[in-house]
Amino acid sequence: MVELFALFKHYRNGIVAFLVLTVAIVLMLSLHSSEFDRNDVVSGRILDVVGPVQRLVLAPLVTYRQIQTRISELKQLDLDNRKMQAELQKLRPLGSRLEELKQENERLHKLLKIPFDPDYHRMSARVVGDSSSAFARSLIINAGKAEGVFVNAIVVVPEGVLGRVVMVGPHTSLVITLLDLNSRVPVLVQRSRVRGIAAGFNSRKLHMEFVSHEADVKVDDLIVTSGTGEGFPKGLVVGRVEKVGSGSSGLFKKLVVKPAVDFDHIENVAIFMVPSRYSVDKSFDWDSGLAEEP
Amino acid sequence: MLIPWVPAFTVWLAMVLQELSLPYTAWSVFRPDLVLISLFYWRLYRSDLCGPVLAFIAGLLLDVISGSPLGLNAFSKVVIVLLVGHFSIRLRAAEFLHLLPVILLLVVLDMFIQLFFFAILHDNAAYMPFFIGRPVATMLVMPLVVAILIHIHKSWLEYS
Repeated sequence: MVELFALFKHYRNGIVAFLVLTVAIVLMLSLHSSEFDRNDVVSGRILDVVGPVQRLVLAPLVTYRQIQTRISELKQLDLDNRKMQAELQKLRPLGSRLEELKQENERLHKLLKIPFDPDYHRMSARVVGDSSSAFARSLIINAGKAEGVFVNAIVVVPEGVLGRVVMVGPHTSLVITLLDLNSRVPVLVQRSRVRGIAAGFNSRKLHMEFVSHEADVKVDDLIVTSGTGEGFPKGLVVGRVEKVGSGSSGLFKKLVVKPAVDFDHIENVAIFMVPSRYSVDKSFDWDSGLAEEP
Repeated sequence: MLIPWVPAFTVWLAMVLQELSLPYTAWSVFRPDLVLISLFYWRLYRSDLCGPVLAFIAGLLLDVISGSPLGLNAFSKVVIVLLVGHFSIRLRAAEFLHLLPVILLLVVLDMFIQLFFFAILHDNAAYMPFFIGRPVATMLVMPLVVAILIHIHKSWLEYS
């Protein structure tokens, strides 16, 4: 036995080589595909053994492939990102334009909600210029003769009365606001129905004139158009009483009214016109460029 | 404790790189035999850690992965390792450049051993361009692979 062990030790390399070569040949001859027998138990066992080994060997490949896939996905993401950025650059101006249109839409919606006398014809326009000076408070709107605007048409915004048209061009009109020195609007105090005239003084406030000392007027009373005369329809908001003068001199009270309209932030306006006076030719002398009083 | 397994690990890495990571279709003809280079190197310089058993297992795994008849690579790799072991003293004394044609011949021999058994088993159905491209590709990449193996050898096995 010892001699056999010594012999094996002496020829160990040779024996191992012989064994592995023999096993290799046996494997080749027993498992080659042309004579592969599905019912061969030995072959099945060997395949069962090498299956997990293959999975083990494949593990780095699976990881490698996953990394590769992830990298290609990241590359694609980067490409998509660049594409989206480019599209966003294109869409950004549209976004601000959209916001602008949205705001305009909201303003026009508010204009449409203004209650008005059904006898009046209504249209809308946009403020395109401010022709105010030290001696006038007026605006230019982008609706004129061609659009059917005529002199003395009433210009209104959702907050209240803005003014009236005093001059009409082919596609633009000049509007004097309530603040203008030449503006006179018949009004009344909504609570006590006291009548008066709202007059502009080229300042930021209005004066309510011809209100007697005995009249019931308080600070914060709402002032609306009275509907007297032919110009303004009844019930349009003009402003609120800000100050009631306490001086006893003269026949009338001095009332200061704060206009409901913020004249510095007007973009869209509604124009009210009486259909019976819906005629341009009679109201404007195109040769002289002056409006005639109706 | 794991240091003696470094050659086996490098052979395994070479196998993964050779059979799995390199693109199959494009490089099948010119795919170098990295396993053979690894076995050659370790058999020359650390024959105690790279014997016929390691060559057999590596060859068997190659057969499993590549789908070739089981034992084909195992047999040829064992023969190559035994041959390199037999001439190791003479090969170690040779210049590195002289080893390049040696590796070329070894790959050719490896191919022919496989072709011999393949012909027996499959009526000579082997893909012939493979037998030309692989030895040349193996010879060309050998300096790079050996440089990496030398680095691993010096880093991990120099004083073990």
